[in-house]
Amino acid sequence: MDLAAALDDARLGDEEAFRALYRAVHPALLRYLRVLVGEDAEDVASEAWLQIVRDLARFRGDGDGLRAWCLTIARHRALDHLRGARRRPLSVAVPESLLQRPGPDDTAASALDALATVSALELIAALPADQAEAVYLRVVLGLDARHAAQVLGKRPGAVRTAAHRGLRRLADLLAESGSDTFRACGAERE
Amino acid sequence: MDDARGSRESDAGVARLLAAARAPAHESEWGGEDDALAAFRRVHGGVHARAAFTGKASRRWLRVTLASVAVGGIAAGVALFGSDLGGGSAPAPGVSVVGPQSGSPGVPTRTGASPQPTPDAAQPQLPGGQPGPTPPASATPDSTPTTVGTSSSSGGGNGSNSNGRAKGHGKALGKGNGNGGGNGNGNSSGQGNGSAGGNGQGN
Repeated sequence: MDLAAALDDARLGDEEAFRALYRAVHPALLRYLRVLVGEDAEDVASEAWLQIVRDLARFRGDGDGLRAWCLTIARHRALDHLRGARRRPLSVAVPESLLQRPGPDDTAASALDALATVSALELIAALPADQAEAVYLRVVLGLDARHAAQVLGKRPGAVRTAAHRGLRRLADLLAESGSDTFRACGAERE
Repeated sequence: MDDARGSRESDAGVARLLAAARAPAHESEWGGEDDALAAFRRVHGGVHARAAFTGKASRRWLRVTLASVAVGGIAAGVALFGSDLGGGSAPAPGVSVVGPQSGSPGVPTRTGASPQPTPDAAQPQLPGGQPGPTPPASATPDSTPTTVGTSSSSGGGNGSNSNGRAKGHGKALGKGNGNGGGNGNGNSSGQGNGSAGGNGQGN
């Protein structure tokens, strides 16, 4: 079902339309929250969906706008969560641990585990917050600069810059670590 | 040379990392769907019910409003017609004619106070309808120092939760006669209008 059509029907109370909408939006939302709050992502996602459901009738916009709107709500809930927890969920040491996880004795299965989506997201989350969010929204999720800027409350130019810096930082992390984690995993896949 | 190679490899590593981040949703990532649907039912189930009720209510409101207008119009017509009749056929001196002369069994009295059949009874009533604000309406009968023509009339209408009334009261003093007409309309939005007119003739 088209996201815009699902949105229209869901506003009228169509449960199947809402299910389609949920399935179109939730994975990206949950992964964004993994970047923001780590292991607490599912709890925060539940809070975000409660608000989305409550405010859905008031939303005005198209499918892309809806995605950005949902992500904005999720981000606000995540920031509230972080304020409450008074901490960043992921320490700077995480990328090191991730990159070193597949040692020489690891099996192919563990190498593939290292390529798991969650690990990749955790690596992105290890970037400075603005870069991590920009990389996720612009590069992973593919939001255009305008919608990404809307989610982050920044100018599109600032989001582009942060995404570019984040990608370079990721490349540096991979190069500095000397780990073949993702190369190895890619080879396994190929 | 090594730097360039390392750069290409790290870029490839980033590309693989991003591809992993974009991987299709895993089974474990759908855990909250039932909760979200339950929340949706809680919130939008009520919206459905309200929407259905609103549709019925609006149709009912339209019917009641039309009925109120019709009854009010009839009452006004009756009152005006009665006024004309009253002016043409003077009753016995000292007797004030009260209420619409519409053929209803109204008994002329000297006090001028007589219950009037009002459109209320003819109005469809909504269950649970409550009376709305009643705008004051008054009739000021024409009079002269020597002869007082009085009128007393009332008309009322109500919709689902409102009514309108118009009353004109007067007393017949001395000789003369009077006629009065009044009507009232009400609608379900809680507004009522009333008007009344009275005139008197004396000799």
